[in-house]
Amino acid sequence: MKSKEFFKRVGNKCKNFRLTRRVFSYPYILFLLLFVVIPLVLVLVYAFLDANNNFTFGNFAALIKDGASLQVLLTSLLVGVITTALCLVLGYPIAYILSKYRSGKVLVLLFVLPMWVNFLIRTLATKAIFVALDIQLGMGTVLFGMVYNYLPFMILPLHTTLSNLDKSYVEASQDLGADKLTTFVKTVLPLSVPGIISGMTMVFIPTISTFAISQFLSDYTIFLFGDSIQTKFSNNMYGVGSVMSLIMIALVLLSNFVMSKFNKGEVTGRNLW
Amino acid sequence: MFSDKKLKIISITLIAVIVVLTVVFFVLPPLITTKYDDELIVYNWADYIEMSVLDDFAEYYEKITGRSIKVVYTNFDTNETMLTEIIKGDSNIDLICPSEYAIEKLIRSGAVNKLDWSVLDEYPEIERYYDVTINKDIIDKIDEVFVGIDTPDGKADMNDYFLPYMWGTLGILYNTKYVSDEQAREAGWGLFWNATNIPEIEGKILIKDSIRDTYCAAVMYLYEYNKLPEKYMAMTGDELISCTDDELVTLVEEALRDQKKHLKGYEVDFGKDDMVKGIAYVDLAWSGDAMYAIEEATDDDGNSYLNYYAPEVGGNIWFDGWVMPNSCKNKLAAHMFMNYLCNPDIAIRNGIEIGYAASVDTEAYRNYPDAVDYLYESYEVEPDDGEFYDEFFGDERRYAPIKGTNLGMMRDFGSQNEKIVAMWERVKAHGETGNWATLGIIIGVIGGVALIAVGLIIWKFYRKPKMRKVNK
Repeated sequence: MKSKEFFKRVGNKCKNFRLTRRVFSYPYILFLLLFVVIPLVLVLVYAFLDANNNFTFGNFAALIKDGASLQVLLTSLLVGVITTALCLVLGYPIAYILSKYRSGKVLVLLFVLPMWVNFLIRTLATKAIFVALDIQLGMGTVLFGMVYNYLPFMILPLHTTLSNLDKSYVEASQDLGADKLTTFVKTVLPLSVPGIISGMTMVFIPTISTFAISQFLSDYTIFLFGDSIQTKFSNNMYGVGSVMSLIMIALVLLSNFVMSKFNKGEVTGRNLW
Repeated sequence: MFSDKKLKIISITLIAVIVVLTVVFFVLPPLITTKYDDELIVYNWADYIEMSVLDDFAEYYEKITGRSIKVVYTNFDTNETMLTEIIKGDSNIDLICPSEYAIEKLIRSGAVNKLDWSVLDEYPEIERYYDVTINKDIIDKIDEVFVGIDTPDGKADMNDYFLPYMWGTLGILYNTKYVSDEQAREAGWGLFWNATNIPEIEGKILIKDSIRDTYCAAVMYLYEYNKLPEKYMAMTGDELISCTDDELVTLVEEALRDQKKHLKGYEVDFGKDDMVKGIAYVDLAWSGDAMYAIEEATDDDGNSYLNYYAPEVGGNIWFDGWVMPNSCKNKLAAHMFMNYLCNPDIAIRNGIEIGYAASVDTEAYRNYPDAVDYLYESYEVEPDDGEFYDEFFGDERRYAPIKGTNLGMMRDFGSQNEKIVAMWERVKAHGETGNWATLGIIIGVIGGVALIAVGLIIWKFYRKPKMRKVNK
């Protein structure tokens, strides 16, 4: 009797099964849970555990007392800021020129092409070039490597924003008698702010957590926050390593927050019109 | 676009395809491939064995026990990775081959079992190599330091737990084109600080990105150059490299900071390649890596531009050995494997393949003509009256004297570990601001290029002022 009922119910379930859009998202949600949410929770838990798995705030204290890690964090932030600034200064004119011309799409492809080569191979090749040129590896070479690796991440969002700009704004400003520079400063530049912000985030966040580029291009003499976290974990100091990872996550969230703030402003701005 | 029925058919087909693929790729292979009676999972350093030895062992095992065996060889890259996996994880490993200090940690945490050679009694035809061929000096050396280790079940001695596999020293690998043998002997550990001011090697010195090895080099440098307070100078090399007093750690930190300006950089595993290619001239190296590099750098006449030197003043002598974790399921196979590796015929193959010194007594090979033949063949030497034999095994770079030297073993840093890691990070982060000068130039150049680009754009706009004219 019971088994019959059970089969009936299963049969009903099958009959009522509808292939809604939601069903397709299940595998991805499962993936997210396994590989994003659970590791993040683990990091959070480890940050409050000492070597014997007891609850403690000692890891935070250890990090602050240590001093070296904070100095490393400052250096990393500085490297991040400089890399981002260099990428923006280099990337904006390129993106602007590319969006102006029909051939731009091909050129963008050329800029994106190196991204398809694994970044480790690219970095090792860069190192080989520096060695062949007999250039002393150090902060300069690391920055070069960073800019080289992350420039496409700056150009792409800028290019998208700039080429989607409504041309009529530019025409309007010209109609009203603005010269080219004024047009650029007063219309194009403000309208491309969302692109600038998203480009900056896409460069800044990965640079502060980079470790392979800094290691290879400086013979391990430049020590960044990512290196520091790696050292902590490989020496069984999970607690302090997790606290440092939390700081990284906080930085990511902060930049995301800033970015969404800017983008929201843009949307309401558009709505005004 | 699709009706509900069609969608259902599509999804059912998709699921069917997925099921079929899963069966083909995951379920079928284990059914098709040959089944083995036994399995032995070996967890070792990468490139730390002659791979054909594994197949030969499987053959040997089948001949003795009549059961087929599959030997699985898995790798770790640092002792720390291995420790995490064994102590924290639940692995299914039968044999591990860590370094002596890591074995100490494993014993202390109760993660490994004592060896029990009586399991071999079941097969009397097994020849017992392990207590015949192993170099007794190694056993004695271990007994000097690693005894009375605290375990969950009372005190224990390391020799009850492990069988030595490979050993070697830590020393200086240098390029003889820039550093003569005399200069290297004169400078000793100070070569890493360019203490004798050889202009060619300034900025061409590599040191290991490994706290333990670099700590050892720094302590020995301070000792060699009389830069330590009285109480440390009175210690032996053995005691000194395992000493982690706060005061000594501070002195080491100063020395390592001071060293940074002489360095090309810290290396992980590219050191020997950089030495062979002539990108670096001095490197802190383990004896086996050094011998490998020296052979790579040898020209047709047998001259090498690299040489290796472990300073007599003191240094580190290390051992890697086999231990059985608690997860070991096949004790017979594990013991047979360890015993098999002590067979001089096999040990010589491993030793030549990886460049390190096997723990088999150098005199033991004499009684195994196959091993001697193998050695001569590998080095393409004509049979002589044991001349090459003496030359090979008498090479102190490869087989340093274990007894009556200042070479010591390093214990685990223990509770001082975090403090020393923090010290190491401060050293590595030290002087980063010194690089800002180079940096300034680079920023200047890139910024200049960018300014020119911006300038060009602006100039272009001003050159053709196309103001719209309004017709009235």
